[in-house]
Amino acid sequence: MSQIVKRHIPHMVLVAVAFFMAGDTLLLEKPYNDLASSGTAVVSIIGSFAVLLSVTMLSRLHVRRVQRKTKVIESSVLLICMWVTLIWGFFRFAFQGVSPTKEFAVQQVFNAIVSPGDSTIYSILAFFIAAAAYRAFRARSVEATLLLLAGSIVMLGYAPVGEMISGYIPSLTKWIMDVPNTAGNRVIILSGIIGIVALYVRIILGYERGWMGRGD
Amino acid sequence: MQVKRRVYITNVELSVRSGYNGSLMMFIASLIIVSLGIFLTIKGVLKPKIRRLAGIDALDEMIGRATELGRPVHFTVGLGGIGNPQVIAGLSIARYVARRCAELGVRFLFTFSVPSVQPIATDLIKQAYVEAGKADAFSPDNVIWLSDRQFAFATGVMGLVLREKAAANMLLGYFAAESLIFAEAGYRAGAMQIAGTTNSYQIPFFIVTCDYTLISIELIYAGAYMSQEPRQIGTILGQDYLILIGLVLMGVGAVLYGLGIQTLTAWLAL
Repeated sequence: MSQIVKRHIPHMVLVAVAFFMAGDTLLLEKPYNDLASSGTAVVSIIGSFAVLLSVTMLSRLHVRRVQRKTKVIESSVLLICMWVTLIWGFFRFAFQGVSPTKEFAVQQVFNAIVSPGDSTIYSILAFFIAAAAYRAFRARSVEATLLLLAGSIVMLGYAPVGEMISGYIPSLTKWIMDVPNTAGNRVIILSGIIGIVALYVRIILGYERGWMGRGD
Repeated sequence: MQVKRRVYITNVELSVRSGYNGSLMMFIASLIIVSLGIFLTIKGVLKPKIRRLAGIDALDEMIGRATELGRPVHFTVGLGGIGNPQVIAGLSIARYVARRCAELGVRFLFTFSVPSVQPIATDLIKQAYVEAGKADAFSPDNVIWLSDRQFAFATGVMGLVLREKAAANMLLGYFAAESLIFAEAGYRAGAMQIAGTTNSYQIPFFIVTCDYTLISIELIYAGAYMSQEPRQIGTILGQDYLILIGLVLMGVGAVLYGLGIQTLTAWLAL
């Protein structure tokens, strides 16, 4: 019984939904497409339940951490504070009609903490790119030398100084980006798409059960 | 004044209106070819030989190194949700790594960004510990949700990898601009690194910073490669046939297009 509920029923539902949704993309029948649109809404609702499940698991985990008084409880305390904020926002919206995004405190948290934090981490990328490029651009093998050459030409091609050095550099840059780079990119994209088709076949046939959790 | 209405036609509409639904035909053909690959392999008609994937072969070495150093293994599937094929592929590998870590007594840290991954990943990793006979060693504290905001998640992973001094950093799933942040954090922590994604813009970052990189399709078929089951190997054979057919069609199409014959190109576009 357990096997039927845990493994076979979810798999049968998956197969039915997979073909139904594929049909929506490939066929042009209005009643069918309309029905599939409502199917997409059902997926969103089920997705919300999955999030609810995750939130419950996460909260239980952190409450247990606080109870056990483990070493790192800062994140647990923060999570509980977030819960209080959420409940407060819900009541303010439900009884006083104040939208949570219009709350001064919420706006301040976003504008003064979240947004600058995001920008800071994004800007760190520039230094990481420089460090990674330094390591990659050492001509220790034929491939690394080719990379170094191509990288240098492309960098010069995009900088005004490149054209000053030689008029050929921008056109060479364009050729590198349009021909070898595009060809390589397309190989990666095409192989990825075909691989995904094969993965879906594996899932539909029940060979790939990672999405089911334990699944057996 | 009469206003002209612009009508947008999707590929499927164009395809159906032409009386020949090319998209549907290709979908059915893909299913048949992959299924045929599986069938022929299961029946033993074809015995495909799979080339070695250095990255996947190195997983045991990475876990072994972590055992010797007494430091944890970090694994992340990145930003994708459970519906993302790259995350599904990453989870297949995570299960294997978690089992090996459990067998060798190495701490396995799993991070993710989208909350819907949590129940699946927790269950999967718990099962891996059960399979290794170390159910008691599983701790839900090691399946860590950090944030669903891209750079907050990146900060969390970076902090975790550096704080815990991970001996192995495995980045297998869906990644965007934060990929280099993860890989650089692993490099600075002195971790052996493996990364894999189908996102072509992130692959160069992984190649220059990681010891091993699974490029595009290699990530997708890593699960099948590790299982070594004939039916799973059959799917690799099927997808290789698809690639071969695609290459032939592209080659022939390019030659015909060059000669001014556009029939094949128009036929494939439908």
